[in-house]
Amino acid sequence: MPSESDHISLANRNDRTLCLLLGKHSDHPEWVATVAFYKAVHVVEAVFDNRWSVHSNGHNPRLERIERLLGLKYFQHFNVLYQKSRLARYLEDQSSNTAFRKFTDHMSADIVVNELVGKRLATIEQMSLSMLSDEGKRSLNCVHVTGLPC
Amino acid sequence: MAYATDSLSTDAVQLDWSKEDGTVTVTPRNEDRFTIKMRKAVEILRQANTEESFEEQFNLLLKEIAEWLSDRDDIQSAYVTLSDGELSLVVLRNKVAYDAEFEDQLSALDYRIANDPDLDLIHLHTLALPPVSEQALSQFLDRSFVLTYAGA
Repeated sequence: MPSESDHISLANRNDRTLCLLLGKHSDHPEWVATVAFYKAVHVVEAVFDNRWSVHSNGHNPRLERIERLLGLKYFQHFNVLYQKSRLARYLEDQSSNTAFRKFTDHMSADIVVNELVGKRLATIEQMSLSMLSDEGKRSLNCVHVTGLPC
Repeated sequence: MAYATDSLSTDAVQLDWSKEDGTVTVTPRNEDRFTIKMRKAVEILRQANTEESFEEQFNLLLKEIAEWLSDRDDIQSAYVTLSDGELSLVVLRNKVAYDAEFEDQLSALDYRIANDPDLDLIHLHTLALPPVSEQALSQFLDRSFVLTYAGA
């Protein structure tokens, strides 16, 4: 099973990808949402490993563990990241005459950055720091509250 | 609350709910089809050993969801279905734009159900969608088990 340091390393790789995407966030809001979520996945798995030595083998078991162990606020931020990454990847409705046709009708590129990265992901990281080892705290590259990690 | 469109109605069992004297009651429109769907869901969810308890908790869950829906005017329709072998509440909002407060309230419902000792056999996850066509909605519904909240 991946260790805390493995998950931090993967979170930081996602962080670097996020950096690249944020430079062109209006071209790739769906991938900003998706990479932000996957960074959060590795942050929370690092917490699970450090605090409880447990690992999640899928999205649903992870969500349930967060609900059981990490409290409402943490779950609310994580669940929004999860839900929006699903919509970003799968929801398109171009051929219908509904007001929603594509992801950015629901969340503009700026809202994706400010809300999903600057608020949801940043809060998850801040809440997680106290549950990581000293080495984990030192090595995790956190996003800034402005949503710009670089 | 809107009714599901025709082809979805072919698969979905409609739940009527009403709130009187502060108490929510939930009634399947066709009891026989509801029972068949329930059996299938129990089978899929591998709850056969605790089927009776599961059905009791499931009915409690339906009331809890109906209670939550009854206080809202920002939802077009809602569905209880299956996703990755667990129950899923899919809520179709009536506005396209992201609403952080709504998302947090739906997550709070998810969290409350997950931590309710009276619903310990229930594994449910929630998903909010903007108003979309039935075709777009269908990818989030498992046609073998769809219950539709049809409104008060």
